[in-house]
Amino acid sequence: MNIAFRKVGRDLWNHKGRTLLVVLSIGVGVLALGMITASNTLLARQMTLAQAASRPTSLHLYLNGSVDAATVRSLARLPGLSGGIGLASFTIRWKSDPAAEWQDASLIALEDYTRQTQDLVTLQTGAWPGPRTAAVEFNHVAGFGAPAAGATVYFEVNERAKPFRISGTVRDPYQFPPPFSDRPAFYVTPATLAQIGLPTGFTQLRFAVTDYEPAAAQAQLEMLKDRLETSGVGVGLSETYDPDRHFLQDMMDGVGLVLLVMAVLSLGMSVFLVVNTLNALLAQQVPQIGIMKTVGGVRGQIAQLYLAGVLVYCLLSLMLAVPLGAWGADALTRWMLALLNVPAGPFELMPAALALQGLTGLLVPLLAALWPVLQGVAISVREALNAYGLGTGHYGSRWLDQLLGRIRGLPRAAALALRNTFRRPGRVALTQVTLISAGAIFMMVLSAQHSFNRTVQTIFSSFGYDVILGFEQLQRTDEIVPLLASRPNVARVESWTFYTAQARRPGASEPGAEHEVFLRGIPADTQLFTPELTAGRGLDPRDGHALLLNQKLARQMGLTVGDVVELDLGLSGQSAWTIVGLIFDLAGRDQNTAYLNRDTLNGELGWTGRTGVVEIRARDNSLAAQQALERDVRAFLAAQSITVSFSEVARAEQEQANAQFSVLTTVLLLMTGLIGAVGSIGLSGTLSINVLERRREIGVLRAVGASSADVAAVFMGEGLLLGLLSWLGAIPLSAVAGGAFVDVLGAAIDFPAVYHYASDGVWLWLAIVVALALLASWLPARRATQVSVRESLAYE
Amino acid sequence: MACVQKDMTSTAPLVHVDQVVKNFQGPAGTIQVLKSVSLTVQPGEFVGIRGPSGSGKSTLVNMITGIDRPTQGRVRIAGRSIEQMNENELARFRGRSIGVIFQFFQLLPTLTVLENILLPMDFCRMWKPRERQTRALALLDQVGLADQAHKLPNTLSGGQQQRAAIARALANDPPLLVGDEPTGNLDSQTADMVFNLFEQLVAQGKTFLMVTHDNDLARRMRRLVQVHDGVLSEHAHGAAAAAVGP
Repeated sequence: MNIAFRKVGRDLWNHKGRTLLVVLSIGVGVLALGMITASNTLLARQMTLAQAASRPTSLHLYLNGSVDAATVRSLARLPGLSGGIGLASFTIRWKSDPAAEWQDASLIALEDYTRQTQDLVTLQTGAWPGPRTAAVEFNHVAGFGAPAAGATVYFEVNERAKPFRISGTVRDPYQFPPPFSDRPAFYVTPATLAQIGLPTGFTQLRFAVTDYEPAAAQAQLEMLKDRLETSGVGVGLSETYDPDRHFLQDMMDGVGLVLLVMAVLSLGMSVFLVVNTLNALLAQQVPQIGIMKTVGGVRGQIAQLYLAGVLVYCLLSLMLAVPLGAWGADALTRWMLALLNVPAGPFELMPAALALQGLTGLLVPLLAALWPVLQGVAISVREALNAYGLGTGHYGSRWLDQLLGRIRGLPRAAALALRNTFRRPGRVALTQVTLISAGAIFMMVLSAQHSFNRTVQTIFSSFGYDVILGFEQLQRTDEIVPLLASRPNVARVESWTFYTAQARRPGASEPGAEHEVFLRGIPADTQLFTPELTAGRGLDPRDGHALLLNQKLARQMGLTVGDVVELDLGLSGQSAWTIVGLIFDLAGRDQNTAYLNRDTLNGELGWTGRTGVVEIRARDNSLAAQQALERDVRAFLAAQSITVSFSEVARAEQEQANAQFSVLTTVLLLMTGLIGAVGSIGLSGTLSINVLERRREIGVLRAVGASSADVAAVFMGEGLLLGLLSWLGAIPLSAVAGGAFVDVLGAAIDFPAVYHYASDGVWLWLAIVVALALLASWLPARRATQVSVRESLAYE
Repeated sequence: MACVQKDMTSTAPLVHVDQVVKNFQGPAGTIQVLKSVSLTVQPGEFVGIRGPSGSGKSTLVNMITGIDRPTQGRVRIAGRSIEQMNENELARFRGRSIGVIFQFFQLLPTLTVLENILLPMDFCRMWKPRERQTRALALLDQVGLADQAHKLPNTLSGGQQQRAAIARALANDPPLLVGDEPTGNLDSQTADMVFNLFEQLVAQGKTFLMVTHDNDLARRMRRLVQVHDGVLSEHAHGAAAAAVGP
């Protein structure tokens, strides 16, 4: 090996601490990039594979009534369709122990489990359901404590607990584990449905199309709805899906993009650290550069030496980042796939991610190093050979030095720490950029979590109910409301109307002009709904055909306050309504909600004096009290022979909604942790470099009587000061960038949260950054205390 | 040695410093460190440079070695004007033509003694790669350090380090050796030993310029140049040098 390159190797070996810091700082950035890139690729591929394996359908219709198998087969033969299935889905109450409380579950029946053609439900363990047996979605065994294969589940049938043995576990691509699902799913045969007194017709229809194209699929969906409504079956909700893309792929792409940006940011910070370290390394090696030039080394040769050193850093970083990145990608992907109920494949190295890691891990640090190296080797021999001893440099001539010099009365160690911190403004700036970025991202992630939670809270606070009940059959309002109002802990009962309609601009008939809208009929004297108006005004009982339209749906339809919207109420005909206000409301599917006067809506629907939904406010609205109230009213209504089709407890819904966002913020915090690690490595690196550079000063301090504690205090003081400064810098940045971050995240997961700054994040980061600063400065400070006077004052 | 010098005086000068001015910018304004100095050194000469601290002698040496550039004037080494060379040309020229010996040895601490001597040969691509080690070991043998070849510089004594630095200066067989107080950091006995080595090198035909404060050593040089406030004055030989000593 060339002699000069032996010097590179020994420099790296002799400064193991510095080598480790640089390797770690590059490694963490490359690890994050590789992990996220590989994970994004693996996620997309597994989702696509799972999607293809399930033989997906494209058109989903949720019926207000039900149809038989012959109708499904007949519809599936229509032009453009390539198959169809029907399934019966009901809400049922279950428990795993006769003494336990009832809980809600979905009870699903397929026509024939062994001859499925689309949206395949696969058997995981045990056997398909048969007479007096049920299968359970395998995610829900652990997720909801549902009984496993061989155990017994009790369904509520005619107010009694009817036992069913669990025949096996299945995987249903449309079911999710908690927190993305609020109830377990059980699977039975149509015969079992009949046994327990439920209708055996299909309540959901799904059809595959021959060649998926969004507009054509929408047209086919409309055609199916027309056919069903013509035959007297209303369609409550309908959706189209691209069969080649998993229905959550768009959301995961958005999340993946946010994570990728964070990974790139982490790599960018690593670059700052490389620049910082190399600047310091070259400053320390200036005399050696002078000697090499004296004995004939030209600039290019010397630059090659230092770049070779960087190349070694890169290779060592890759040795760390590539295996850890692959392992991290596998772990992250498995975790996210499990949440999405998508099977994971075996461990696999992703060539594209490896290539990206190799390319960025080698090129980015080398490019980052190029400038400091070229600058460093450009020093003249005279300057290089004169760079000895104390008092070199320009300290004292800059305004900042003079300003800091005017701060009097500080303890000597504090004054030294303060003034030393700013001796290398470039280095301080790069360290601060790293730490400020880490801090700002941490606070932004917490603000995002806070914003999502507060938005959910706002949505729930718009609705003042504690328990909501839906009835199988419409009930007389003047009977059901007083009945429920008489129950204990009930403060108020309101009858509402829920209905799914099609909305269009008047006269619009082109494809895509129709938009599904969830109508909410609210009583004129409602106390359980306070709209979040973004334009116009609230509803007035005298308005008649007036509505409040969700701002997002209004934007999609090109409508605003004062415009008229035509509502297709299915079998009840069409009517025109004037928009009096736009609201922010995240309810409904994709924010497609509208609020109308209940009595006017009921008049159009022919439901005057009847109700399908009641909302109840409790006196005590703790979670336990809400759940007790739900149990009480369900039992009470059952005793009155009134069948409840669904019931929800507000606080439980809110907690579940918050839990869904916590999954996202957990992933984001993982990335923030990596960024924080880069930041602390950077701080530790900067302080280590300071110790190396100031060995002679440390010797002088020692010579004039400084104890180990005094010397350590100077360096730990510097670390603390840098940490606190970065904290101060991160606060405004996080406040300004946090809003944009929440917007981007909201767009990624299709949840436009209202931005709320998390002030507790500020204090939490302060605690973390102080701890990081003390930790990062402890080792350099300790090293500083070990410098002997003799060796520090000796020339090399 | 005297004979060699006399024979050389008829050839072209190896070092020709012609009316060199060197200014430095300081906080108090421009400081003229060298005031239009001229110096000619013939091949084979052993020239001592003396002067009080801050007089400009190191600056003069820096002008000759190309470590620094003159503000005005010309410096010709072996017939080539070095002030016109760019940094890389200068580094290569210096590596091949001038061996520099420093007061503080300036051996690269992470290379062994042998490797320090191989380094200039590598940089300047002098000698065939397989010959370099043989040559480096021969040089170490010449300075009495053959048995220390594989040690790191910091494990050697000051005298040994300086002898290693001399071997490094000789690595590319340059005609000119320049020492900036090369014995200044050595005890008198070691300094004497190192100086003997210099004399041997001059006897072998090398040209040597040496900054020194040591009167005893100065007396042993045939030609002395005195630098005072940036101005040169010259004494013919060692005996006269003794008279100008402090």
